[in-house]
Parts: sequence; C-alpha cells; structure tokens
Amino acid sequence: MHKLTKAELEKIRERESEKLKKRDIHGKTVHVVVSMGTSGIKAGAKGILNILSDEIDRNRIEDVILTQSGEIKGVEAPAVEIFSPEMGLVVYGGVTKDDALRIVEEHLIKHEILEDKRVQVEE
Amino acid sequence: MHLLSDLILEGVMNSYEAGSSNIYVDIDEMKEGVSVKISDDGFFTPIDGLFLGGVSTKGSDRGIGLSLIKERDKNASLKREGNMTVLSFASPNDRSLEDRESFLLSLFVRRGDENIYLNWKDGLSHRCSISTADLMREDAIPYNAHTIANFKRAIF
Repeated sequence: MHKLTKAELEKIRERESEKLKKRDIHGKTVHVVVSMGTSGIKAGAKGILNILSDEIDRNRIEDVILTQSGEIKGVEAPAVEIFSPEMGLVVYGGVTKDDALRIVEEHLIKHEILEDKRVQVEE
Repeated sequence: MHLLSDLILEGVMNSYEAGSSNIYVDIDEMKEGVSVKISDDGFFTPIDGLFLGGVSTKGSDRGIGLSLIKERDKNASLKREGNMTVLSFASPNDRSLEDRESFLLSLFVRRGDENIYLNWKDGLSHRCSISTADLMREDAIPYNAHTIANFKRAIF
C-alpha cells in the first residue's frame, strides 16, 4: 500500500482543483461551483445546490456547468463561485435560498454581479 | 446538526479528497436504522485519531467530517480492505433520504472525473442502483438545463 505524505496529498488536491477550474472555461461556458465542504453542508449547501439546479432547469440555461467543490477557505458558507469569460471569478459567501434564486436571475441571466453578497478573494 | 444524508455526503467528500477514481456507496435502510458503507480506491494515509475532530491528512482546520460520523455512530470504522478504503457507519433513519432528488443531486453533480456507484436498498427490498456511467449513457450527469432535466427523469 502506497502511503502518501501530507505534502503529496496537498499537491494532488491543488492539481485537481486547478483542473476543475480550467475545464471548459476556454469556451463561452459559465462555471458555477457550489462549495460542499463540512461547513457548507452544515450551512445548507445541499439546498443551495438544489435551487441552482432547479432554476437552471426552469430557465433553460444551457451554457453553464454546475459542479461542486470542497471547502473554500476564508469564505462564509455556503459559498458559490462563478467563473465566466466576461466577468472572471466572482465568489458569493453566506448564500441563502433567496440569494441562490438571485444568483440565477441576476448573475446567470442578466450578467449582473450581486455586489451585496460578493466576497473579495485573492486569486 | 448533520442529517443522515449530509453524513453520507461527508463520507463521499472524504473519498473525493483522497483522490479516488471510483466511489461505491451502499445504503441499506432497515427497520432499526440505516447502514452505510462507502468504499473508494483513493489514497489512504493511516494516522491516529482520524475520527477525532481536527485530525486530518488534508491540512489544518480540516478533519471535521469523520468526527461528525463518529458522533452519530461510535462504532463507525475506516479501514483498508485490499485496494479499497472502506468507511462504515450506521444511523437512525431521520427520513432525510426521502428527499431523493436533493440527495442524489448532491452525489452526482460532478466534482472531478470520479465515478460514483450507488446501491441503495430500502426496507421493502426495493433496490435503486445508479452509477455515473448509467447517467452518462442517458446524458444525465446534471450540469445544465438539458442534462438536469434528463437527470430528473432518470432518477424517478
């Protein structure tokens, strides 16, 4: 059995995370990532994922990739990251069910950032 | 407090973060409670106290998920069986799995390139088997309007 050191594990996590961030972003696709780490799950991230999925379906939004990730450090849970070629990376923290509805309506459909929920992160 | 569906998700997240390619989730709902087994082919770094809060191979301020599972079931175990890491625990049935769509969505929305195999047996011996490969065949990995609609059809 191959035993990994903590450093090796961290490297794998970074590599996988980069792969996920780069996937399909070269096209016109918007990438929506829901953080499903422990604090996210505790704070209701599963419900947020559900609302985003339902609203993407209801509004027939095709140019989007909905995925999930682990914990996003330093951002109040539940957190949602959105990458788009036009607006770059936008991170929303402390997302409620109402916020999830707004994210679809304002960010994904109208291409307007929800400034009141945005969290500034170092890229 | 985490629901049973959340604890299962915690276990799957643990498998993701171990770099697993294949994750097998077995759920057996019985009268007396629910038995859960999550097996993966990810890396396993045996360190003492993995079920204690804050003890993790994933860096500082991590390692809460497994401790929550241990809180629910003091007999929960995480061990290596052949090439697989196997997490087993049991829980009273809090009926959180009844929100089937929400639970399955959280399992099958992609995180990386992993494959999930779900084998779910309820008390009436109704068996639900869904895998990432099954959903791929039906273009039903949920990520946009088209595939989410396919996913909803596929799971009911």
